[in-house]
Amino acid sequence: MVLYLLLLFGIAQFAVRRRLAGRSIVSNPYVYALSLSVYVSAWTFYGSIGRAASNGLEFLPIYLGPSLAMLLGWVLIRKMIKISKEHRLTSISDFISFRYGRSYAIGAIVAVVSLVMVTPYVALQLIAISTSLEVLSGPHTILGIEIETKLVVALLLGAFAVIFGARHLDPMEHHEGLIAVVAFESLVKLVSFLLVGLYVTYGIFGGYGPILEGISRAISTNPDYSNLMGINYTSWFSLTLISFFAILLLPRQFYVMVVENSDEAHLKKAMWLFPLYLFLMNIFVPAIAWGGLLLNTPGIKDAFILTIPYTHGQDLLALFVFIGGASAATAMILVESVAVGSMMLNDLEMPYLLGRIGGGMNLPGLLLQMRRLNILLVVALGYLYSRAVAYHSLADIGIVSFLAASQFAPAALGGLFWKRGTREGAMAGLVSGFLLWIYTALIPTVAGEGWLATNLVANGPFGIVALKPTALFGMNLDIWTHSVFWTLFVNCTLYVLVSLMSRPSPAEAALTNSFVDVFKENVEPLPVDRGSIRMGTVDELQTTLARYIGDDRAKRLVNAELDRLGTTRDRIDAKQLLELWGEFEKTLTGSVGPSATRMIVEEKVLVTPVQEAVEATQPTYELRPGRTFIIPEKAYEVFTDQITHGVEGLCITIHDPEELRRRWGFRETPIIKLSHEKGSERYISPTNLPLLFVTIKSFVESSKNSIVLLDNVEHLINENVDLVPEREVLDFVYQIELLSRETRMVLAERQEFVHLKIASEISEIKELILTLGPLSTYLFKVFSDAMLSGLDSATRVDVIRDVNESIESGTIFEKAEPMSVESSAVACDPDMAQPSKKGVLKICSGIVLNRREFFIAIRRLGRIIKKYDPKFDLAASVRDLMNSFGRSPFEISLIPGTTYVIEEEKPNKSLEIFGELVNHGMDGLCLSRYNPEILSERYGIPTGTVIWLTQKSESEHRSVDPTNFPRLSSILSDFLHKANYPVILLEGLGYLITQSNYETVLRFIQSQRDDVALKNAIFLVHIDPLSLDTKELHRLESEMEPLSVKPGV
Amino acid sequence: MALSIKDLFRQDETWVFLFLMGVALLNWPLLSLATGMMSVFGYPSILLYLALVWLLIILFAYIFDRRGSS
Repeated sequence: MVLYLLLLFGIAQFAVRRRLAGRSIVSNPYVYALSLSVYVSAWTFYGSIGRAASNGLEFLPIYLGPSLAMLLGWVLIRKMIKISKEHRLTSISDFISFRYGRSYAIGAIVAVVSLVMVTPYVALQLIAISTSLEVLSGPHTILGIEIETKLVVALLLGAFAVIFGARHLDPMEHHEGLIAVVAFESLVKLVSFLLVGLYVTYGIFGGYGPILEGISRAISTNPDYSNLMGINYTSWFSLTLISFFAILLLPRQFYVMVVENSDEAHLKKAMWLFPLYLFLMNIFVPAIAWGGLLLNTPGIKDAFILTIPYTHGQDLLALFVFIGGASAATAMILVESVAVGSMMLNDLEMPYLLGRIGGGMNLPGLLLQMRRLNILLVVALGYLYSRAVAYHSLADIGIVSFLAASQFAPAALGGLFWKRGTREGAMAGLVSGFLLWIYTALIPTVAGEGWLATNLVANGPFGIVALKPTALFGMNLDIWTHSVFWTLFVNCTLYVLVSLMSRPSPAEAALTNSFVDVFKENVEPLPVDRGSIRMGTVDELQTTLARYIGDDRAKRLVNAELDRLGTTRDRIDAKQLLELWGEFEKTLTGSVGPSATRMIVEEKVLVTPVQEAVEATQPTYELRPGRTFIIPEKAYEVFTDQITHGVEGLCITIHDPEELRRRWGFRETPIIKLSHEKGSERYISPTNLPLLFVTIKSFVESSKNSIVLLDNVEHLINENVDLVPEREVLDFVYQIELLSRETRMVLAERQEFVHLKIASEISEIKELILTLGPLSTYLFKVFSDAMLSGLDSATRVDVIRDVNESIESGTIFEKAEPMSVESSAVACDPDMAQPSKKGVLKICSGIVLNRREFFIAIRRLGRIIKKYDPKFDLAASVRDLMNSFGRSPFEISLIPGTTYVIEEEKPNKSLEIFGELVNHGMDGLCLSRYNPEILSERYGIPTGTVIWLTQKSESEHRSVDPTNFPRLSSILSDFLHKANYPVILLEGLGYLITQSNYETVLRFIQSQRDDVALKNAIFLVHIDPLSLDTKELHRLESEMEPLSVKPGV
Repeated sequence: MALSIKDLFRQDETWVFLFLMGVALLNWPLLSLATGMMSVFGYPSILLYLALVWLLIILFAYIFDRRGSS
């Protein structure tokens, strides 16, 4: 035995050497398939025979389940491998924890349960070795001292696992020595099994036929053997099911199958090699088991494989079988201890320790030592447990641990395909499954004959029969089916139900996507707050990494990664830094596990230099929600600034999305390109305005704090010329304008495209149609159509002729300023306009109108029409249109540069008109006796536009002393200077007069009147006719135009 | 209609189908048919049946490895 273990040392050493020499003997599909066969442990090696001899074919499902699982290899196992490689997950607990938001709790539960289920399992292996050795040679004594075989084996195996299973700091690096040994041992156990099989079948019985004949006869004569050929379909099914899960989820299987997989292509071969191995392993099981029965071989049935050749004097063969059995046991112990050891470190101890270790410790060294300690711990626990129990009480331990592994299935396999599975759901499923597993499977199996067995297992707790562990609520099934049913039923139910009731955090949801969609193209990389690394540098990343994996390796890794990205420490850009960050997280995950990585990344304590708290910093540009902004040059910079500070963004652009992503480091932000290209939802044709609108609308409605970048409207308008009715373009722009009230709308327009005084950086604008490019001309056409529509056809022709003459002589459009010489030359070419299109207004598309010019033109048109049709009412003809484009109907009748007087007792109508004008895009200033709050509430007048006439000094609102006329004047002239389309309401005239005197107030109004005329403002003055005497009233009225307030307008 | 083994195995659905077929073939009630008949050429039919299904599983995976990969 010792010699054999030394041989294994040699093989492992050889494999490692070959690996270092660059010619790996391990990295090939055959070794991979053989390493999967660590599945066949001593429990199956000896136990199959025992089961076949006592329960007939019931040993088979244990192998059929894995064979079936291999059919799903390409769908299921490949995905597990891909994910684990992508994110450097090194154990089943890493795997499940990572899927559910890198949860510590889930990883820890899986790790603890793995340890619990593995301990008796390892114990069984040790017992199997010592028991089989005793069968061969009796108790060992050296120099009179009884040597305990189990102890020697455990010690050697522990040392072996430590040396070859924990060589590197990065567990993702393959352990070639370990795998070489496992594969070799798989070969040994197969060969020894086949040899005994052949010997028993052909050496003793002379063929399979005689054995089967013999056993058939025995079945019919001896009632003890009656069940050998029958099948209990229920337990058959449950055993197939749990062995199916076990092959995927047992810690050691996950380790050899996923972690130590060096090439996906190897899986393809293993898909048939491994079932073939299992098939060969089982082909002689009935022969040996039933042969043993027919030969009346003494001893326990599990040992038939050993005792048959031994009792027939084939000592050498018996020894070889013993070596085979020991191979099965040792391989299992080695891989299991390494797998469980590393999951305990990554998912149980590391996250706990992380917050409690001082800065000065040698972490990389400590990590490696702890990994080794864990491995020894698993072996030691197994050994101690093996001392406490006898073999027969562990005979079914394999099934018990398969059952435990099956509890991982809903969370692990469900989470692999079902995105809605959440952390809470996984937690509920796992915990309930495990508790029930302990109660229904573990306790009844390991209870032995003590107090537990007699009281709890036999009669139920406190004598309550309904709660009997093997027959909950009186369910009468075999123990395994019973346990499979209850554990998985409750586990799955809670997993699904709790998942549906809970919502994952954004971080968890993002992880879920990268998990479930691992095979999809262009999977978004892990979300990392871009801002959080903007402040960090490469060196700081490296320093953090060095704490966990050592200085040299950290440096090498960072340098290699920089090379790969084709950049250097100084010139790295945001995108590359992100990729480096991704690599950094993955390396950490490989070394310390997912939940510890999350803590390192999240807890600013450990990575202070990198994690400059972004949440605390303010965005450089402040954009108030609900507004529209025109940003000619820095639109993308402002947009990026906003989205890195927690605002959700949507980018609609004419540029290449990938280019933008690279340049600005957008990660999650959806980018839609305005392009005629087809085939992707990332493209929207610029002529498909309804789709574009719906896209923006649904985005805005889905987010509470959003920003939309539209680059740009000019492109949209140009693309739609002559393709889409102008009315439709207008509608689109107006709808966008309305939408902007629920988001921040950023338009990247050229300054020339906007006819307003705007700053080169950020300008907030109130309305779009009369501000941007040719839209006002579109609007003019729509308006003129509406105005002309009421005329009879004869008048209409006359009007159009007259208007066209006016247009040519330049008396309709005040200053027909073409957008550019070129376009006007084309658009206003007189040859193409008339006479073919008689009855059409000759409006060339090059004309650009601003708001004031637009209304002037409309009014002039109105006057021409009135000449021919005296009944024409301008305001009435366009009222509906004004409303449908969000203009105030008042605006058409108010001529800029005029001072109006509104006579009414209370200033209700005045305030109403003012409020409406301001809310429809004019810049307002209101001098009022009323508290701004009240005005805002009653008339919707924004408080910012109100100046309160009061002698109280007010800090909350802008106020002015009613006697301070110089101050009033300067406020008004300031306002007139800044505003684009000013409207002023003076409401407290009576109060002003009371506070000073009539003459002063009159002079003030006269002086303002001139300013207003110069700046083309609208000045509304409210007068209560009853408060002034006739002469005073008359003098005021003579300064101003009366504005009759029609009710209902 | 061009049939191609390569394309067949490329689809995940093929594997899921084979898996479900395997589950059906290796469980009640199909299994009970095999247990019912006692012997074929002196061998218990159940053993032959199980071995046959098992070898079929191996065969499918083998064909995939051979044909599907290139």
